[in-house]
Amino acid sequence: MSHARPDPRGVALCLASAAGFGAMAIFAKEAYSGGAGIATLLAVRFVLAAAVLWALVLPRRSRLSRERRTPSLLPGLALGCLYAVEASAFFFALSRIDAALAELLLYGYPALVVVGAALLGRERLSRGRAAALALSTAGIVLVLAAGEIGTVDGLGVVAAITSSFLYAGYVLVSDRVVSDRDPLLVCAQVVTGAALCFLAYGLSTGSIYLALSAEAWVAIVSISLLSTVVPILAFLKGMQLVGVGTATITSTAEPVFTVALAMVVLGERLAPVQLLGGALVLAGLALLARPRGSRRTDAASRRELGSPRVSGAHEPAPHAARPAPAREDRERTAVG
Amino acid sequence: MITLLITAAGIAAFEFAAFRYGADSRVDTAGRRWI
Repeated sequence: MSHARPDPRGVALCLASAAGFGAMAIFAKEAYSGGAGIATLLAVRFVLAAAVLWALVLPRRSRLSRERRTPSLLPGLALGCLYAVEASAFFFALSRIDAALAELLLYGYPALVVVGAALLGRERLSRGRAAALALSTAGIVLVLAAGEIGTVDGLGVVAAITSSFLYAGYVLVSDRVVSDRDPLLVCAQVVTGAALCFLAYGLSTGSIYLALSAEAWVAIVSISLLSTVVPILAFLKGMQLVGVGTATITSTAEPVFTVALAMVVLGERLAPVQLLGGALVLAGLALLARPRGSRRTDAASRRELGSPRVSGAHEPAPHAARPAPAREDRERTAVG
Repeated sequence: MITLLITAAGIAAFEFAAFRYGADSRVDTAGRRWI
């Protein structure tokens, strides 16, 4: 078994991204209990995140302008809207089927991304990477399927699968969009696009309420900073370093972080099969990070394939996996 | 609230550590700083 050696810094950044997104369910529980609805949470989350990102981007604007004479806003904003559509499909699925089943279907996206990247000639699908993907996916199935799957509704299943394809497409497209652009700038554009979509929806339906408790505001600010700004940026840069396939497989650690946090923070108990699933995900990541044979880096591998810097804007799983006890709890902690 | 703050602090610490570990990557191949 021989595959390119991923840059450990990139893997670390992708793991940080997974941790941030994985924590979203914990923060969301507090936000919901403090009176925030889903529309409010999503709109405020992305508006705050966009404000923070532009505050980072604008001071660098003159330098960015020198690097790119006409940095177009459109691709990033369009990606943000694509993300919003994908998240909406996921939420529609959540309204029809159990959250665990919806997430199981959504987490088909790492396989779609890895296969898509291979078909597009961006990355080689090595045996090692395929084995890592299989292990991680099997681990996710065990972690999530240990909970209640609930009633299978056809429309909900279709929506969840659609969400998975849309998200895979989003990752693959963003991989190209950011390849010759400043990742921080693209990140700001993507988040702004999503913010505009969710804001438009919230305002048009009158579903944004800002009279929230202090706990809810702390939770939403935490989601904006720790589960949106930092994870997006970390994944963005991590993807530049290790490539879209490895980064996406690494993102399968996200539900494992959620489950672990729920156990530590909320005191929720895990079934042995969930622990086994978490171990499988970690084994997959370890397999990815410890290749035998070749010592080439992912970047070198991509250069051989004639690919430019592989990178991508990413807003990992537009939801938050949760450990699971009650179905209604799971549905309310999915924040998109 | 305490649990929330502790969780946020823990996640922030983990993310900070990862960013610090990836400090060498703050300059990309074109010599540009990304953060």
